[in-house]
Amino acid sequence: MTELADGGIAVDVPDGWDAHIRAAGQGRVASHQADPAGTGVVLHAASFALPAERGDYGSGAVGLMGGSDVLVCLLEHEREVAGTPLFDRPRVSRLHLGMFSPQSMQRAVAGMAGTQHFFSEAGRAFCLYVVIGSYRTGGPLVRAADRVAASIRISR
Amino acid sequence: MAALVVALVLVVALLGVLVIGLLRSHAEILKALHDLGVNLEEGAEGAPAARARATSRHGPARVADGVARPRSDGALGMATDLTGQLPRGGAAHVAVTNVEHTTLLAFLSSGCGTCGTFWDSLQHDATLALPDATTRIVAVTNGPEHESPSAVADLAPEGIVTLMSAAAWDDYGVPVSPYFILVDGPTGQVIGEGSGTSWEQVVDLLGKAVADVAAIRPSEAARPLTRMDGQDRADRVDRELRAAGIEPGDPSLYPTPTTEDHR
Repeated sequence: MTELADGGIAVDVPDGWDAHIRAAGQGRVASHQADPAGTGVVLHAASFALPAERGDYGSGAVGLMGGSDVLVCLLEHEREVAGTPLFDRPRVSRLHLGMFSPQSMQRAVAGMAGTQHFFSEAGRAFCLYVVIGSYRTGGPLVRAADRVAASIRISR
Repeated sequence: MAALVVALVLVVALLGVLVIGLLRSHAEILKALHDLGVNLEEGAEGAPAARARATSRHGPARVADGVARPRSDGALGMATDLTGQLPRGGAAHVAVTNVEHTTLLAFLSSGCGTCGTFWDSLQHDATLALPDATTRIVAVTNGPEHESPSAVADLAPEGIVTLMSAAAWDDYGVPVSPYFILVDGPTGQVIGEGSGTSWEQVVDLLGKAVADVAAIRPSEAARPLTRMDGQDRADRVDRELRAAGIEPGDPSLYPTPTTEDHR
């Protein structure tokens, strides 16, 4: 377990996982232009090797996922929208399989499932987006994702 | 007569100082040679100090300007995961241990001429012809205290994670750039390292390193298959099918039975 911190975001990275924290919109290639980005910090934590070029919502990375892989994305939006109706709720306390659905994927990939939660914390607005490589055997994957998501610390 | 004696004493004293200086210089040269593994005494085996130096990850031996000789002690050691900064801003952690693939760490700098060849190769050569096609390449420069992030950002190859990490250079004892280290993910061991003046040389070097490991530990050659459990196999099949454009549920996975099948 290694702590990675930048931009007021910190996360405990499990062994064998990659994690990047960077400004939104970096690491994009032409094929990812349709991938909407926030305007603040983006955290990607993955149980697989994160590619250098990927969209903020994980396009370019999701296609590399196997059935036992997990991708956790935390995307910051403009601070002005913190507390507005879409973001006016606390961070989800625990992820469970019932929250995941193939329809929650930014781009549907057969067999995979995702979940998306908007929230405000420390005066900042975020979207937590998690993808699991297999919905059918998703229990352990969701638990792994939950451990990483729960380890995220956000400061002003 | 007294003046002659004083002059003689002065000359002897001067010669004494010269002799002491020469002996000291000789001793320093012998010590330096000793540290490099050269022992001039007849019948002498490799000196302990020389072996100790060879074990060091900071060996000074060089084969060409800007090119380091690979360590020759055979004790390549364990790898460590990398944490550092991204050249365009941000931080990253890259796992090279507890992963299924091998990782090639390319320790490069923005200033060295030889490194320019490798930055170009990584940027432009779509087919880098590594011994194992699943090998992940990570470019690692020294930290922002030693390198200009903007210069590294300009050089960072598209499609390859480029990390700035002084800690990684220390952890791996990188003697000079360019330097390449191949890490076996499942075992977390360094299985090859060295340098060269061209990408082809490095690929050849790494190919030999992989072959050496396979020869020393034949069981390792079959490791990727023997270690796979059911989920691993399913994942591999998924990846290979997806790479071929076949997604779960694809009709080709469920062929229509032919009359032959009913017989």
